[in-house]
Amino acid sequence: MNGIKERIALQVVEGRLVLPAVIECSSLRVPQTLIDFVIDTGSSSSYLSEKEVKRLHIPIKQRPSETEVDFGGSRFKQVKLPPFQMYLLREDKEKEHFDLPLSISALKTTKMSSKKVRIAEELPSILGLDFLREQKFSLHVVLTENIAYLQYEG
Amino acid sequence: MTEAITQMLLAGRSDLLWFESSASRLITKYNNQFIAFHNQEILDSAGDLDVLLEHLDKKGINPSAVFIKFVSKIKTIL
Repeated sequence: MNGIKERIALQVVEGRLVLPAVIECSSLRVPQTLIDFVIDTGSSSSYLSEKEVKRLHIPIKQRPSETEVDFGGSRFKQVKLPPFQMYLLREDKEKEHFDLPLSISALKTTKMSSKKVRIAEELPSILGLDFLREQKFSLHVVLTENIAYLQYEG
Repeated sequence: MTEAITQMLLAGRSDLLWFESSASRLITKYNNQFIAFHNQEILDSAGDLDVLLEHLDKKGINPSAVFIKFVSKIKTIL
């Protein structure tokens, strides 16, 4: 990342802090894909949702699951994925973007019933504290002034 | 390539702004459905994600270039 104290604007969508991004993963044959991540400081880890796994045709059945996690009232298997590349829009130069590596796991519901699978598919992808830590981002939010952004502190 | 990514990001930001400003109308119309949208336009909707992805495929719409969201009057706590 060039420069110091670069900022990435967040958006408030449905009462959540959302980061629009483009991601890709050549080893999984995931093309450049538009995605909206929820910034979730209540989560220690980052996850691609069941919905995105399905949309991107990510083959996770053959991949070993590390552990199980509870998220949004559902239980999921956590499946580690190869590194992705992530592209974000710079706030100061809106016609420019930068890229960074993204370490993320996939979520696969442990439930079999169609109702519970659907509930799992409704959940968003999230970026947790691991993302902020690894990328050296600080999180700044002043909702009363409609201010929300990530700032690079490296 | 670089320009294409920037355009995707700019379009994505604009579409999320549109979604947020249209949320109440969209929830009323598409309650408990998955919707696909791009350029401030609903491309398709379905109560089942697989069905929606099939619809997009039949229409020749690249799912990587659009947002897909579930809209509901019931909010989910993460």
